[in-house]
Amino acid sequence: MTSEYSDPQWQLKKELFQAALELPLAQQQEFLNTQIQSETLREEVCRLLKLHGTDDSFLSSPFEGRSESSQSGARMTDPYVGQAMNGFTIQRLLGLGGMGAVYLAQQVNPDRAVALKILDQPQHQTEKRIRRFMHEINVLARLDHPGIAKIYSAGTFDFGRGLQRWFAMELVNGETLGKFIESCGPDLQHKIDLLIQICEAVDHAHVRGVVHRDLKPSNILMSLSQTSVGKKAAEGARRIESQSASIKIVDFGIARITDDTEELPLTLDGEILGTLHYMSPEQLTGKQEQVDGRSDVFAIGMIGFEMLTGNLAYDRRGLSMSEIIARANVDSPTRLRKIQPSFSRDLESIFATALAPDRQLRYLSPRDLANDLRRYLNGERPLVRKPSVIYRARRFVSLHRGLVFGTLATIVGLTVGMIFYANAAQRANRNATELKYEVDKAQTINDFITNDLVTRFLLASAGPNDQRDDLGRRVEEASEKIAIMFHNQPTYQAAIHNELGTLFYNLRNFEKAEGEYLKAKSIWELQLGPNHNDTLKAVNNLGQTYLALGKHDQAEKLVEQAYLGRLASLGQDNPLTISSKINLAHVYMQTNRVSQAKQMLTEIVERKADWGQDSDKAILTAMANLGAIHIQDGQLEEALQLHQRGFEIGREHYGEVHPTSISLTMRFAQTLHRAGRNEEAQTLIEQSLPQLKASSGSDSLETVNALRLLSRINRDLEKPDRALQHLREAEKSLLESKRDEKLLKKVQSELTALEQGKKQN
Amino acid sequence: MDNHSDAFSEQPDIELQNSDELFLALYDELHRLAARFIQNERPNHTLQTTALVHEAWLKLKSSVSAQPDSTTGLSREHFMAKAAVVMRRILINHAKSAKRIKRGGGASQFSIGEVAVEFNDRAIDLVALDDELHKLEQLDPRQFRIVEMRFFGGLTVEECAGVLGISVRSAYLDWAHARAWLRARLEG
Repeated sequence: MTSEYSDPQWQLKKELFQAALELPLAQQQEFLNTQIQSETLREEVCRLLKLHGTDDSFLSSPFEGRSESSQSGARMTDPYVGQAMNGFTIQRLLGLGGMGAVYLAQQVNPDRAVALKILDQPQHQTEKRIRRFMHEINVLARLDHPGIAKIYSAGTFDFGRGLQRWFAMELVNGETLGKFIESCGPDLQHKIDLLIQICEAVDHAHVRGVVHRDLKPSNILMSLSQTSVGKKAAEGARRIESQSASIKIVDFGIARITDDTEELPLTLDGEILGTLHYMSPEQLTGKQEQVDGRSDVFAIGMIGFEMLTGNLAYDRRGLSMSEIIARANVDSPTRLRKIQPSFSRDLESIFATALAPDRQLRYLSPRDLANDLRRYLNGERPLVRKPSVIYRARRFVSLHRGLVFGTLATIVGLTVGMIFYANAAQRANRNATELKYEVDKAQTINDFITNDLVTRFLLASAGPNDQRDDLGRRVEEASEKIAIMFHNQPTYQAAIHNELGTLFYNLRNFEKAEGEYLKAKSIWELQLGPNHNDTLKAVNNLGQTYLALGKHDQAEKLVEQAYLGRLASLGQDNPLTISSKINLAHVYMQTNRVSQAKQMLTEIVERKADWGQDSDKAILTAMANLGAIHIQDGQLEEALQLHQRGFEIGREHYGEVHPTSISLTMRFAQTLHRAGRNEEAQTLIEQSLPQLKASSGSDSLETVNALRLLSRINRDLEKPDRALQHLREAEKSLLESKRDEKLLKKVQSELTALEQGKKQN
Repeated sequence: MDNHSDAFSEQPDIELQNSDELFLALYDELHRLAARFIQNERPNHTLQTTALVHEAWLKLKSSVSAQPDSTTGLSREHFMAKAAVVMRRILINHAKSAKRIKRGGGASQFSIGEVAVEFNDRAIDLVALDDELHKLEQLDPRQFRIVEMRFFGGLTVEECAGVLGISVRSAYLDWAHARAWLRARLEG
């Protein structure tokens, strides 16, 4: 077939190629120039390196990667289409969901089109998924309402892939509620009528002991069936217009049966992001025992508010998931009339009641909400009461949540980080393979974290005494499982190690973070090469961890590697490059190379300011750190200027209560204090302190530092009693939580000094 | 580094003592792999996933039973590595016969070469790839094995390293080099 083939330089070329591959991108060319004399040889190796670096998809195995069912490729030949079973013929795929696929199928007797939901192939079925699938069947079997898609039959089949579960349900022909509002633009009365329909359907479920828990516009479909329209029209003669449709609620996959003894965990199946906007505070903060019909009332309120105004009543856009959760108990809904003053006060009170953060102040049932909406349509006064002052005070008292809250926030925050992968990939306009890789990766990690990690944690946090150690242990357990769960997908495995590293980093457990980042780095290095963006991400994170551990040499090497790699592949204006540059400057600051750090930060600040992009987080960080250097150099005026600008941008861009602006406020207050402007500093801190406590906890480093600063300010203002008072408060919360012994010692020694100073005076 | 054979032995319903049971357990996986190759099958194409699997299956069984020593305790990776060899032969044979049919006329019932290339956005001529792989095999048998396992068997770099008993780093470097070299050869 083939004659003998040889290449005397094979070994040499291979070794040069492989040696160069292990070097950072920036050094490869230099290495080749110095090592290879022969130009043709050098060109050949260069060419191979270039081919290596440019396209990951070449020779990618069609057999590798994610399992069949989750492939995004729509070009797949579908194994089910054309199959007949149990009196149904499967016709085409309607959609893929977290649990499997939904097909359009034709039933023979009676002759009708149905939606056929099929659970994943047997090899992907876990006991949990099967239970959830059966659970949805059981839930639907209880319900019989024109506003809820009906279940017809259920069973199993075997097409040669093992036993698979299915159920057939009513086929809904219309679009989702969200799209309907957008495209048809119904008037106010029509919208409220739809809302009443939703209330009635959900109320029916509640009466049968089913709480939906995941109501959102995409779970409400518009049915064009004429019969149900007719029935509705008879009920409320003037509401229904000719083109109108009735609603059908679908997806009871995470519904809860309230009289069921077996408690189903909150299994979100990677849908956290979409759902979160409509979730009640008790769901967001993981208080499963408090989730009842009133959580659905809240979701209906959110949906209605959005239908009427086009805005979300709790505007959570631009916030990270952890921030949303941290604020879940703090925020109040936007008033309806603030967005559209033409709405009546009655309507405003109805929505304020449905959307009350405290469920005890909401409507007791969707029926009550529907009744008030009817009263409004009929020009009568609704029965709602306005939230009282006592209630508002109570809400502030109950803000204090401590660890369970904070750690949950971190975990869920990770989930969103994952979804970011997908978004970032889309923005970056990369080739299809790479995009698919990013999206798949995001999905995989998201599934893992939401299904496994969050579920475990929520289950655990159901008990009142959950502690940080427990979370740490759980994360470790999960970490050990990664290798098993993703043994075919090492790059995803690495991504999860990376995220777990971040979780530990945020928990300030830097040793554990180091372990996870090391794993991520070595896997990515092997799979993607040392200069891939993912590898550099882990390199950067590991560097940051070493810095936190005080291992400056290791930190510098890694952070520099990440910076140079990103500079070479992404360019100097890429946010990741800038963030690495800031980190490197930070290393220099820690290792007494202040002038270098100063120069780097100045470059960033000036360059960014030129573009008028001075509101992103990177530049705010750069400004804050540059200010700190100015202080070290005794240039207080420059520092004041920078910190004031950061503070103002933060307030303007993020609002007063955003964690970023609070941290910028504290920074500015500290500099004001240094400049002797103590009254101003005091006012700023006192304004932000309640928010700071609410979002990061009374025993957090940030809160304690704010109290320490406040104490020093009062000492300088010669109010020693108040100075003592602030430090004692910090001591008290640190003593209670036992979270940070080192910080506690610091506070106590300051306390001693202060008491002695007071005695001497 | 994580040990992948652990992942396998954790699955409780699979016994390692008997290679037949192992085969049955992994049949699904092979089935899944084969399905990928004919995802884009057109209606007149007759070769079904199952047929492809059976063909691979029979060849694999005979190759394993010809060497009885290697059958006991065969790990998943080794199984997949063997499957990769079989898969390569089947695919290349199909690609070649498809080319012959094209040249010599006659009804083309099935061309897995055409089908296979559609997975990758970039088309790979399997027959040309086969020629280059033969050269690679003579130049560097280890790189050849890695390409075979990765491309035709869907093994990860780590799994390849496990099968060959080399470090993951070496496996990665060999894979990177082989891939770049093949690309240079195939894309001219």
